[in-house]
Amino acid sequence: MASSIENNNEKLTLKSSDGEEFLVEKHVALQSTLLQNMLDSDCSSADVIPLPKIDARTLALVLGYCKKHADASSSKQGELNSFDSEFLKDMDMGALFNLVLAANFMEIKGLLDIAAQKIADTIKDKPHQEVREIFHVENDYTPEEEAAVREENRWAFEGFP
Amino acid sequence: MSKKIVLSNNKSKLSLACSAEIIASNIDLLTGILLRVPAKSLIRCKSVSKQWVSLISDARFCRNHTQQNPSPPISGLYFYSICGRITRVSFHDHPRTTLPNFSFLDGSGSGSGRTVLHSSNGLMLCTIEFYDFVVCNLTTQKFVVLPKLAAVSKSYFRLQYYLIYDPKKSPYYKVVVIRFTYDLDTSQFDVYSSKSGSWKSTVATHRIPNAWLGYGAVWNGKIIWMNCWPGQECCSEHDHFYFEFDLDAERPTTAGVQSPAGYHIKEILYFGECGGRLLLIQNSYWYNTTEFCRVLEMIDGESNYRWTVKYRIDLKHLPLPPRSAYGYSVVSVTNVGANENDLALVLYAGGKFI
Repeated sequence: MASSIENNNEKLTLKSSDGEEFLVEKHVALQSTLLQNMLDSDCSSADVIPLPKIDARTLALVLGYCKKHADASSSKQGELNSFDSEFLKDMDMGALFNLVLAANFMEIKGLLDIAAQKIADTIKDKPHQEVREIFHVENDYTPEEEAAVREENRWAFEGFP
Repeated sequence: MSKKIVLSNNKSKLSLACSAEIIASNIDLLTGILLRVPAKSLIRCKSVSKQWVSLISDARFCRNHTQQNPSPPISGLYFYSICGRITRVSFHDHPRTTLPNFSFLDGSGSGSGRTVLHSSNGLMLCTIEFYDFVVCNLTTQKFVVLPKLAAVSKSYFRLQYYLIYDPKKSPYYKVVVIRFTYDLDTSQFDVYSSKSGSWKSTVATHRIPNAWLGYGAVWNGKIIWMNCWPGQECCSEHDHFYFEFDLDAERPTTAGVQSPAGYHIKEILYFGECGGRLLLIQNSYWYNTTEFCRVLEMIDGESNYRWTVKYRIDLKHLPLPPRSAYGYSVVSVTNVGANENDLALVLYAGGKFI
């Protein structure tokens, strides 16, 4: 079990849903609890690990995050925080949703936290109609029901369409 | 929106639609995101769909949200103005920073005799129809009517009411009703706990010095009353007594505290808690009163309290109207900004808030 951590130069190959392969240093991969568990069990590093739910673009982002956090784990937290905010800065909703799903699947808690926070920050000032569109939620209210829920919370809607 | 996706039928748009839907239908992931959205935005999100409203209204979700966001920035102040009406002042000057009102209570009782008695971290304690106590949450526009409190014996008078709620410490709140006998020899504390859902009485016999309980504040798990009778004399010439009620032990005690050093107090402008500190604001009798006041902070040394002078405030530079016209009063002291040492003093003078 310890052998997977001892040899830092070992590499493993991850394969995205669209078939692209990524060669990753083991200590970077260990940021993911999923990969850590796989390596801790009998999974050989010579194998290609398929990640059928994650596309190449998202996986590249995830691995960029993991590398920074693996290399900087002993360095200052402030530097990581500014990396995190820069990392997510101009990301669109689609990329953020993909990141949340990938981080959830690969069990990378830090990444899941910051991506969820970024989504929360983005939707907090948006009207509910727009939030509905962003999450592709079907409006199952009748117009009367929707008006009633809104009336009940009228104070929160002032200034909103 | 769905039309747009079909038209632009490219891979990334489709995958966006797809991942958004997966997240929206995964309760754990959706909860994880919504727990990070501020309360007011969440209230609007109740209008997204029936699934969202039931998730956001769920008691466990609400508790988790409060726990995860135990001290949100202060959005505004509510207080009674001289004409007896509740005045709301938002700390932000923007149409989207409106504050909720009390109209949701209109359906309960006749609406007459509704009075706000005390508030604590977003919850308010009101009475409707005299002895019905109501705890309401203005954000969610929900309220709870507490079980009736046993009738007050005629030998008691001077009722005081406190609501204590600190989500950093406990998801439960307490309501404390204090009654004193006329001779102030006996006091009765009725404590309602939202955890047990019932009232509990404690009767204490304590001689309360000076027969006057002027200022009360909730601080450090206690209700503390301060007894100062300022006049022309210096505070060091009369006793300061503190009468406190420990909220966990549900036990009252008295304590004498060293008076703040030689200072001629004209009046106490404020006695209350702010961001975990107990503050006392006094202004001087001898100095030009509208131009100078000082802020003291209580240092807690376990039964060994002591005041230290934190700030001296020169009000000369504030845009106060000519002082001959009226005085001013301290409405509140609050934390502003990220730095917990940044205190804001809210003054009310001549119809203006500063």
